[in-house]
Amino acid sequence: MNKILAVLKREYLTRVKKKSFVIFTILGPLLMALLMGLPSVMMMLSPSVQQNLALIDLHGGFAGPLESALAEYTLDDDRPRYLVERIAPGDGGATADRQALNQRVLEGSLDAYLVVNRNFDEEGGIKYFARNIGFNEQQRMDDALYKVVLDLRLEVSDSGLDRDELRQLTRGVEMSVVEVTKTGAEEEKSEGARLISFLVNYLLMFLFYMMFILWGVNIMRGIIEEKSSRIVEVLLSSVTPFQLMVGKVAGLALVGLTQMVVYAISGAAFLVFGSSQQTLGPLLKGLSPAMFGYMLLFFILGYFLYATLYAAVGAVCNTDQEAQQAQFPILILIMLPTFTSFFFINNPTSMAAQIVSLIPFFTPFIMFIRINTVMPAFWQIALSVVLLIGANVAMLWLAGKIFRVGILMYGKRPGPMEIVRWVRRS
Amino acid sequence: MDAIRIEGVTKAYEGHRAVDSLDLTVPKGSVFGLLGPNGAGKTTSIRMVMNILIPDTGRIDVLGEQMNEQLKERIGYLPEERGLYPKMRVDEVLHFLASIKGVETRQARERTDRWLERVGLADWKEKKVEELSKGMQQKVQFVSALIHDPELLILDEPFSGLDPVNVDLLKEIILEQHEKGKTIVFSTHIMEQVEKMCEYICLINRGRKVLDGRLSEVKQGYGTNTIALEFDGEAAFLEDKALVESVDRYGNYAEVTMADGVDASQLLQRAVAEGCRLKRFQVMEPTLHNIFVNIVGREAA
Repeated sequence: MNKILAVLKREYLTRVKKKSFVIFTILGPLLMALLMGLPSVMMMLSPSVQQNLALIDLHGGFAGPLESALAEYTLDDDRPRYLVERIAPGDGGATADRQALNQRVLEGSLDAYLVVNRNFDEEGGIKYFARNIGFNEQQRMDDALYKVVLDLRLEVSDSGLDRDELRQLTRGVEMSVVEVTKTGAEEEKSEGARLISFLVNYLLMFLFYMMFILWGVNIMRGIIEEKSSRIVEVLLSSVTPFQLMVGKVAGLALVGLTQMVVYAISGAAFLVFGSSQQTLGPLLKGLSPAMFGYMLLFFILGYFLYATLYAAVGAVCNTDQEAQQAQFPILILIMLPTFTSFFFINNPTSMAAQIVSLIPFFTPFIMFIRINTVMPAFWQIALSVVLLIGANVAMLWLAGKIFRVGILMYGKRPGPMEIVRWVRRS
Repeated sequence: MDAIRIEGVTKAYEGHRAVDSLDLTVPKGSVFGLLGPNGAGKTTSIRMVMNILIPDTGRIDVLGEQMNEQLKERIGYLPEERGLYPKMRVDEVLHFLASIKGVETRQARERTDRWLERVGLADWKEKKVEELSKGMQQKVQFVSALIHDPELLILDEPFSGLDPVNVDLLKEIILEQHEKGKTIVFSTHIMEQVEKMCEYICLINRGRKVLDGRLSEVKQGYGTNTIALEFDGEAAFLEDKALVESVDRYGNYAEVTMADGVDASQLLQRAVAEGCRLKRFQVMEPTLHNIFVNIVGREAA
């Protein structure tokens, strides 16, 4: 055990001390958080500035209603958000007017201007000119214009409809989704929460996928490096091949976990920080401590299963090129559940999902999806975990045998038949 | 008690027997030479002693116990195929290799410093292994075999690739260990080193033991049928198969193994009769080189 720990310690420290690890682990999420959080931070930090908006009203009756519609938007300090300036059409024609206004937009004395044609209902009847337009800005404009246009349309029609009544009649519909849980209770899920749980599923799936491959390949290459730098025999004069293998796999598991913890902490910090904003609020509801528990469980078990496979492949190969080919079957095993996950996320209760989630190589992905979507019966979870642990033990035993023979083998890479012979003999 | 006792050990790979019913005893506290041509089975034998390979049959006892994992901490091993982690610092590599031999951290640090000082690499302690020259790396490797203060030291071709100054340094350290009562096993095919350092030898060829025992006795067993000759000019009599079984010629110097029943005086008479201008004519013990070439050469024929 002490020897496994000694090997583990070296594997862990040499990896964690690497610059690439620090960058990938700490700067990675930081960068991601920055990218994702930047807009909201900018919005929060940007001082409330009034927008200078000009309007060329060729229609004639547009300016008044629009001004009053825009007047409903105020800044935090109750000042109006929009300062509307009416521009009378000049003698030089529309093009000359626009050129003059464009110049003002470029100078910054104007943020944007609207041109409303005589017939605003035609294609391109209302145009917004600006350096750019933000999502929220556009939303506000659309809403205000909708109100004005609706009123104006009503005026010209003789339907006799009341405008308030019409607004009532044409408002949108919202369907709320209620989940019937296992116990028969009803649980309302907001649209946000549903979207989030879908996203979280995908995100975690790819996190698993990336981590399994990334660190599996890392183990494999580490072993090949030890073989090619001929240090293996020195190591084996102190530890058994099994101790060496387990130490390496566990050491890298710890590296992976370190990374996960850093990601989780930064993710949590991001969520807590972000939850003050309404857009990210539902995120917190979509995540539960139980889910973190399952994530950890399936990550560790899945990771060990694939890592031992990679270790065995590393032991029978002598060069990275050889390993590239030899690892292909493992890659397929990892890719299959990842790339079919869309089906399982949408059909978590299907027979296919129930069966596939019990196959140890797929359990970490598919059972985890099922838990996150429609919680399966507990016996199914328990069975899948037992099978996964069993597969881990079997794989450790098998890989240990392959490792024992392969690690001192140089020269030609053995074929599958020869590997079977090794396992039988040793 | 013997340091190593190998009894009836066989190890076969697909098709051929790398080691074939080998019996071998290494007395405690001795300097022992394991000799043999390339591919004779030396490395396989050593790997079995180290529990890296498992023998098909037979028994291996080391330091009085059947070989097991715990014993590895009492053995220092310098394999022929050796390497270090190129990206690690010299001291970190040594600390790590000490830790897997069960040396506790503080002691490992203290010994690392002491040994690096001893082999003249104190200034390189914090450098990465890959920055060191080949010879320096080999010294670090040598230190790693000694860092846990083992009772038994197994060195596979320890001097290959070293310059004479470093060869002397390593020899000095090895003899020091011998004086402390440690058992030292060399595996090599360079006979001069063995002849000067070893008390016991074992010669293996094609997986089988062909000769073993105390070096002086082995040499005596080969009798006094070896003659060292120094001369000027021709020496046609050396080709006479009736007199000479084999000859190891270096220009004007030759070591002759006489044919059975031939007396030294017969050879001398013949040399004088042929008018060979002798500078030296000496009856001597056979060199290990001669014995080796004789046995291995005969088996190959």
